[in-house]
Formats: sequence, C-alpha cells, structure tokens
Amino acid sequence: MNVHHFLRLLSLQFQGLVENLVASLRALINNLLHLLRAWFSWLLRLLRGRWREERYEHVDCLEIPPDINRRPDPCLYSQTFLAAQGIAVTWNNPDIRLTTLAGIPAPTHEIEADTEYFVIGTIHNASFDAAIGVSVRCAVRPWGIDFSQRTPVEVDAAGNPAQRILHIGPWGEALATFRWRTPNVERGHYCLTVECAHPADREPNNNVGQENTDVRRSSVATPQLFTVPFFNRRERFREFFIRADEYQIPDKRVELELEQITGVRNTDVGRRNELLATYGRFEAEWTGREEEILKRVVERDALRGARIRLAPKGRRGRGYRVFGYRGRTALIADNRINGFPLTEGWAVTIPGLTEHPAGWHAVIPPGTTQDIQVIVDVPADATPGTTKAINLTATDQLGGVVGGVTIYVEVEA
Amino acid sequence: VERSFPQFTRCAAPGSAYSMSETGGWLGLTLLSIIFGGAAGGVWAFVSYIITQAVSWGCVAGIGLLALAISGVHGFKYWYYNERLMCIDKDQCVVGTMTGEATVSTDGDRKFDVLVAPFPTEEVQVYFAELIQANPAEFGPGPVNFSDVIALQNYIESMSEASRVRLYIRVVRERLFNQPGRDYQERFLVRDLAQMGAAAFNASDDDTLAAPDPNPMFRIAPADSLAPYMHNELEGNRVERWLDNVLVGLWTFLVSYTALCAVCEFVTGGADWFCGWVAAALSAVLAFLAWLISHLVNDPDDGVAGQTDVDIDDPAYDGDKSTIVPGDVLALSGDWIMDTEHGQYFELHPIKAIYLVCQSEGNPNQWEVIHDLSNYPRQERCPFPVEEISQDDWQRICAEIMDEGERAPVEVERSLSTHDALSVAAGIR
Repeated sequence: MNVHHFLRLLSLQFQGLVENLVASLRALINNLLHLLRAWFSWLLRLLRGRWREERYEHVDCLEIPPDINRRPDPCLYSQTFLAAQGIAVTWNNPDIRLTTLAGIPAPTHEIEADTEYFVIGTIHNASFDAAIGVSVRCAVRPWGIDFSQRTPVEVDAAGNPAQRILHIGPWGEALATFRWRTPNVERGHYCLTVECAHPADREPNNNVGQENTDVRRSSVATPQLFTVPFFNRRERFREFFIRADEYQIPDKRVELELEQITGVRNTDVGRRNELLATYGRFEAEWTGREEEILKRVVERDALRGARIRLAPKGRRGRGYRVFGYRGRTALIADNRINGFPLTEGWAVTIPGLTEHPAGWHAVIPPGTTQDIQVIVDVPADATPGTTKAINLTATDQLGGVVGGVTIYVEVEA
Repeated sequence: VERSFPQFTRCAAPGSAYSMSETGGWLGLTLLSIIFGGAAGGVWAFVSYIITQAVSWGCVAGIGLLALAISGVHGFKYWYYNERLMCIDKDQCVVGTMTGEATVSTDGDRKFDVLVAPFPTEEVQVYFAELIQANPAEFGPGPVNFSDVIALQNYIESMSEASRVRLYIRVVRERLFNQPGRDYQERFLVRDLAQMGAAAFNASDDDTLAAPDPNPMFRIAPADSLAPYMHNELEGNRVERWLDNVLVGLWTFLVSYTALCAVCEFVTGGADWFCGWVAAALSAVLAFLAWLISHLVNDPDDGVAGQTDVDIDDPAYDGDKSTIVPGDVLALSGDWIMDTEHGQYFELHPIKAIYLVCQSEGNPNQWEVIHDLSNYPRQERCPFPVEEISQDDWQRICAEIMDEGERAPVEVERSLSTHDALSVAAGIR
C-alpha cells in the first residue's frame, strides 16, 4: 500500500466534506429543476403528437460527434458551383495560372507549340478545419464548351495522371504546380482544368475550375467573328442556352463577420420571417404547416457555409455554440448572375440560333461538336486602348452551367 | 472561447496519478471510508449526547454507515476522474490507420485503436511472418502457410502470452522502427526518456526485452489484427453520471436520516436502536425517490461518447458527423496519457479532433468516383495512402492540425479580396 496516496486521499475526504455536501445538494436541486423541465417538454411533445421522439440518438457504429469531427472544404474558383449560387462567372480563372519555366506569366490563349510551361493551381480551404492530404490534378481539354476529353498535363513515372498532395490550414491556400509540355501543334488553343479532391470534403461541388479564354484585337465598329466549338457529351439530343455578359471579378474587399448560428428556438423573429419569406413562403402557404416549414428553412440556413464549435475556455463536458462567417448574401448581391449585361453598343449575335430570354438556344446532336459562330459587334464609340471581356456561358435546360469561354476584345486605336 | 470537445477527466502529474491496486485497492478506500464514517458517527453521538443527554446507537450506526458510503463513492469518483490518468504530454498529434471495431466501455468512453503511420497492416503481417520464420527456436515453426493471414493470427494467438509479447516487441523494435525515415512516431509505441520526460518514464513499466515481464506501450489483439496498436478514447461520462445519481440518493438519505433521528431523539429522549430503524425506513423511501428522479433526469446512458445530442440547439450537427471504420487513415489530436488502472495503457485521451485522411473500402460514407469532372462533384476515397506519409508529411500535417487547426484563435472579422471570397464562397453563410 502506498502510504503517500493513502494519506492524501484521507486528507481530501475531510477537506472536501463541505464541498461534497454542497455539490450533492446542488445536484439534487438541479436535477429536480431539470426533471420539471423534462416533464414539461414531454407534455409539450405529447400535446403536439411527437411524444415518441427520443432525446438522444443511439448509434452502433463509431459516428464521430460534430465537436470532434473535422471536415475540410478544399476548393478553387469553380464556375459551376458559383453559377449554381446565382453568381456571375468568368472563364478567366483567377486560381489557374500559366507561367514559363522561368516563372514569367504566360497567356493561356497564346501558347507556344511543344514548349514547357508550369500550370499553377491555387487550392483554398473554405473551412475552419485543416485539409490534410488534398489531391490535386490538372488536365487540358480542347478549347470550347463542354468537351469531355481530358488529357493530364503531366503524368507520373507509371504513366498515371500526376497528382500533388497538399496540406492546407483553415481558410488557407496552397499551390499545386504541374509541368506541361504543350502539343506540337501550331496555334494550339486549350482549356485548362484543375481539380482537387478529399475523402471528407464538406462541399465536393466546388472542386473543379476551368480556364478558357481567347483574345482578339479589333478596330472600332468592326464585327469580330469567333468560332466556339460546343460538344454534346451525352447520348441524346440536348438543348442549351448561351448567354453573354461582361462580368469581371471586381477589385473590391469582402468583409466577413463571425456570427453565432442559432437553432429554431433562438432565432429572432425578424430573421425567422426573413428566412421564411425567402425560402419557404410558397411551401408554407401551400401546406399550411408554417411552423414545420420554418424549422426546415432555419436548419437549412444553419447548414450553409463552414461551421466551428466553440466553448468557454476551460469548460469540461458538452455544451458548445456553433459559429460561421456571414457574408454570402452581400457577395451574391455584388456579383449576381444577371447583373452584368453588355454595355450599350456592344452586342453578341449567334447566327443560326434563336434568341431566348435565357440566352441563345442551341440543340446539339449526341456526341457531336457544333461550331458556334459568335459575332461580337464592337461599337463605333468604343474607347481605343481598352479591353472588353465577354463571357459566353452555356447552361442546360435545368439551368446548370455546362461550360463557357471568356473572350477579350482589345480595341485598337 | 476555444475549440469545443467533451472532456470529463483531468490527468495527474507522474507521481500523483495512481492505480487503485497501488494503494491496496478497495481495501484502502474502504479503510478511508471507515475512518470517515466512524468520525461522522462519533460527531453525531457527541452532539446527540450534548442535546438530549442520551445516545441512540441506531442513529449513530446509521449516520456512520451512510457517511462511510458517501465517503467511499466520493473518493472513488475523485480518483477516477482526477488521479487515474497520468499526464505525459498535452495536445499530441498521431497519424495512423484505424484497426479493429470501436467499442463502448463501461465508463461511456468510445475506444478505438490505430496503427501508427506509415505502416499499413499488410506490411506488419509480413514482418510477423518473417520474424517467426527466422526464429523457429524462439517462436516455434509457425503456421503451415505464412501467407494465410488468418492462420498466422491464429498461430500468434495460440502462443503463450510471454512469447507473444516478445514477438510483438521484436517486430516493433527490429522491423518497424529500425527503418530510417519511418520511425517518426516511434515514441508512441516505444518508451523514450527524452520524449516522455524522466517523471513519466520512471513512472511507467519497463517495455524492453531485458525486463522479466515487459509491458509494452502498444497493445495487441492478434485475434482481430496483427497490428501493434495505439489506444485512443473519445471521452464519455457514464460512470460520473451513475455515481452522481448514487450520491444524490445517499446525501438525501443522510440529511433526512439525521433530521429524523434528531426529532426522534428529542421526542423519545434517545430510544436506543428504535430511532435508528424508524428514521432508516422513512429516509430510505426518500433516498430511493431522490435517486430515481436523478436517474431519470441524468440518465447514465446519455453519457456515452459519440452520441449526437439532438435535443440541444445545434442545427448544424447534421452535416458535420461522419462514421469511421477500420482501415480509415486518421490524423488525431488529444492528450497523451497513461491509464494507471487499465494495465498501464498509453493512449490519446480524450481525443479532441479527428481528421480523415484516407477512407477505407468499407466506409459507408464513401462516394462514387466520377472521372468526368466538368459537371459532377468529386471525392476521392484515398488519394494519400498511409504508406506514402513521410516524416516531412507527418510534421506538416501535425503543424496544420495543432498550430493552425486546433490552437489558432478564430478571427471575428475577415477581409478578403472578391476573388478569394468567390473561391471560398461555399464556406461563407
């Protein structure tokens, strides 16, 4: 027997006597109050017909509780994801760069044949949790819209697509660099694709970014003809809509603020009404179950964006609060998808296609490529020396973006 | 504020942490409780005599017994949650492959084991086969077919415990960690004075082959897997809840019993054993009710780790939980301790964060890999296999996890360029 431990435990018994008594009495009172509250909750559930609901979910396998689980979101500027959020896009991807081996930036629309370049992809992590072991690959496709053919820009010793593994801190970014020898084709024009992946990815929809641009110099009042190949990768006829805008990523700061994400009970009335009006008004009116719809839209709102669980310092046990960065609404408002029509005088026409409110309507047979002839009218009053960016973005019948190109017209003096 | 994780225990410094068996086990605790109970009974006898000039020996015995029980339960609880675990180092980072199914222990903790990187389980199996074949005099002839993993596991399982432990120690020391550049997590399986510090090193068992009965840091379960594994626990508090409920009942018993004894002695003038029995009968009913209420409200089974508490206002829980299964490669952070009571297990306890690095074939969360990426989301099951994790990778992973992921303060406000904000738009609400 260890006398030291015995004496220490003995002294603790007497030292802690009053504390133990107080703690037990406090536990008794707390438990009584807790019981009253539990009975009251049970009564409410009974009245609402939900008395069978259990307070805890018992699970057999090892489900990691949310305060222990870490989920990253490796991502890059992803046109398909952004367009699905109602955000205008450019196909001049800010996260994909091409440089010479000496590190000099090279334009992706004007590359030398049979020459080595670096393709540099910037991968971000849109999460409070570190992204460990993110794989990144880079592929090149024919210039145009929706081509399924993908050729890795670099292969490893075994002939497989080269892969870079990145570890990215919370809200951090890292570079993946690939070495690309361009095909021995004069005036080759390509679309570059950078893709990332992670097994615990919180949002896999923002893992692919494309760089797809062309540049033309033009005098004022001179129509410019661009040929944009459009491939239908499916085994059926498909209808597409091609719309043009002049969106460019604004040179502006976006301010994010950490906010607590509350549940249905703690969401204030103003916010509840706002969410209901935005996301659930029709459903609530249709079904008449406003409370249920409200709960759903509040929960859906809470699931938007990355989250972090924080607790007072030194606290033991459970009981945390959930926080996230607010700012998406302002981001969408500043970059909304229909907010950047061509300025007066500039016009895009696509002969052979009919214009529709959703864009120029194209029907492409399965597995074929159709060369879309795009005429850009440069106005007579265009300012010489300026450059106009025109994004041609193609969507399918459901509104999903299938691809696009960004055309730069440099107005000559 | 800081990152949230459930924690109910505190580890004690080497020298302060101890096993119950070390102090004489239940004997020591019982002796302490008897001293405390005797003191409480004596105080009551003295007070009772002063007030009524008589003593009800039934009340004295009852109060003494209740104080004895309370003392015992309190002593046990204090030790279990504050002095059972020996601190080695806080906030450690371990990367490895989950081996064996996770289990729930009696105290509500969820346990799972990992084989430290960069060793896949298949590689470890080869080392066992090689070592047995090279040392038939020490470990016997081995199974008929060494490439049959089940036969190899059965053979090792059938060895004597002493031989089995020697075999594992030799595999760990002579095959796993004798490889330059692959021994970066050796300290979690092999005691190291420099890494553990002298106090922790001296307070733990010898794990070398020189010891007559070596107690390795790693654990073994050849029937499940040949991997020498490191133990990890998500912390729950089922025992704490259970003990709290018992204490509520006992304190109710003691308080009501003392009050009833006082009334009875005042009325009867101290009727020998009568007051004790009457007070006991009435107080037992109250104590049972108090315990029952406490048990209903403070259900011990709610203290099992890894359950999602769907009653609290956490609407975000739904999208943030996931399942891990054997074969998944994980990066973990947690406190490195030695459980003095659990055969001197070395473990991460509590686990504070789990990062999935590579998903096994059997994980139900796995996604279909679609190679055509322009329209479809993409996840990859295992882009970064465990055998490819180098020392440099491990250091970078741990730096990201510990320095950036778990310790860096969360910025209340952030200012981003629009380009960056669009790239991370999915993370913004």
